[in-house]
Amino acid sequence: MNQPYIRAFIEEDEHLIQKLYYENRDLFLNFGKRYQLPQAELLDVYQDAFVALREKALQGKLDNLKSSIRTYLFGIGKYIIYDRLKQKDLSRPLKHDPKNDLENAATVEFEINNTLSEEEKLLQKNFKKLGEKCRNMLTMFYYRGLTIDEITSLGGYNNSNVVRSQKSRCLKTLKELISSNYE
Amino acid sequence: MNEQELIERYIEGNLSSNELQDFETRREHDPSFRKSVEYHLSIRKVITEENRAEFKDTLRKLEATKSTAKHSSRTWWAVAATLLLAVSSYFIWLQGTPSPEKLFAKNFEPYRNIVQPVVRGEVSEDLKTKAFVAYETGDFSKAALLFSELFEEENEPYALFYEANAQLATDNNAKAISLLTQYLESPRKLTNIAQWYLALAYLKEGNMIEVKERLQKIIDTKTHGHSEATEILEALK
Repeated sequence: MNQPYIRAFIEEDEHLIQKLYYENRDLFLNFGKRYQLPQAELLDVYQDAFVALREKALQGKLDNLKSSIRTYLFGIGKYIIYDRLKQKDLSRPLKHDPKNDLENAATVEFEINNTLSEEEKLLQKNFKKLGEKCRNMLTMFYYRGLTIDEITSLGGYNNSNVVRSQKSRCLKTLKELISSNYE
Repeated sequence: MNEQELIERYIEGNLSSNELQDFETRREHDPSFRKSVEYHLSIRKVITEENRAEFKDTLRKLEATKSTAKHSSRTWWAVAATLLLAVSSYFIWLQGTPSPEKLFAKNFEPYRNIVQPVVRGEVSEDLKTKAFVAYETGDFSKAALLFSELFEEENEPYALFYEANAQLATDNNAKAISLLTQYLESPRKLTNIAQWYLALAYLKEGNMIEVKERLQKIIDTKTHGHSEATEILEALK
């Protein structure tokens, strides 16, 4: 049931992704009202949750998902909301409605990274300077969490050594870019 | 396995639990190894942030291009004026000489949902909720269908009552009458209320004999709708 959406994220099917986004948007905003965050912030939360959903899809973490994408999405949203409330020191117990499925959606833990160190900012700047091929390669390995073997078959490479050497070259280029910054 | 391969397998998630333990120990005690590991973790963090920021940007753009209906004030006023005209004409008509139809219109309002609480925005798959949502949002044709299905599947008497209301709201008087009659065959939670609605249904039909008899009974027993019943009987004299 969730497969088409997972595929949509992987294949970057804009149309389906947009559909999913809009299908759940108003429902989430309405659902989030109870937490007494301003509407603008709720929208921001929804977007962050949606970004996270895509990430999980790309990382293959949704392949065995039993619940619906919506429930999962709301679970992430709740997690983000609680995190924000905690930061604002506003966590308070809420009235619990046992019949509300979405309210009962289990919160989905999600790594909210945010702040980059100075070194990481430098890395980021130079990563953007890499060619598309390298960015794709490194994104597949580091972001999507694909193994070398998976990249080999997905990318249609001859063998895994080809992938390894390419990845190695990309990392080397990245390092060179960073050091050239100091000159 | 050299350091490179080790870290590669770590990022892939391909280390066995033993290997992972050794890995963490080495990371803790070997500063240069630790530095390498952290470098790769930083790369992962950076690419993650990059990707997230890019996609979020896409979403923001999506919101921005969402068509915002520009209300031209002229259109708005035209709509408001038309509505006002329609509503006032209705009330003027209602004030005119009483006819069964007018009396019905004046007194009929679909009975409120006291069975299934409906939470706005909540999406539920079950038939009962769907029926009441349709009912509450004024989609009476749909509601009638769903209540009918509900009665077929679950034999709940209230489904008859609410379907009757929905049918009355969409001008299907005969159907409403038959449903209410069926509902009233046994003593029910909403018996008195249903008696009132049955009287109203007959009023709409124009069956004056039934109307007068039923309204009189309601007045005599002082049950639901008895004060309105008095007014109606007066008007019909």
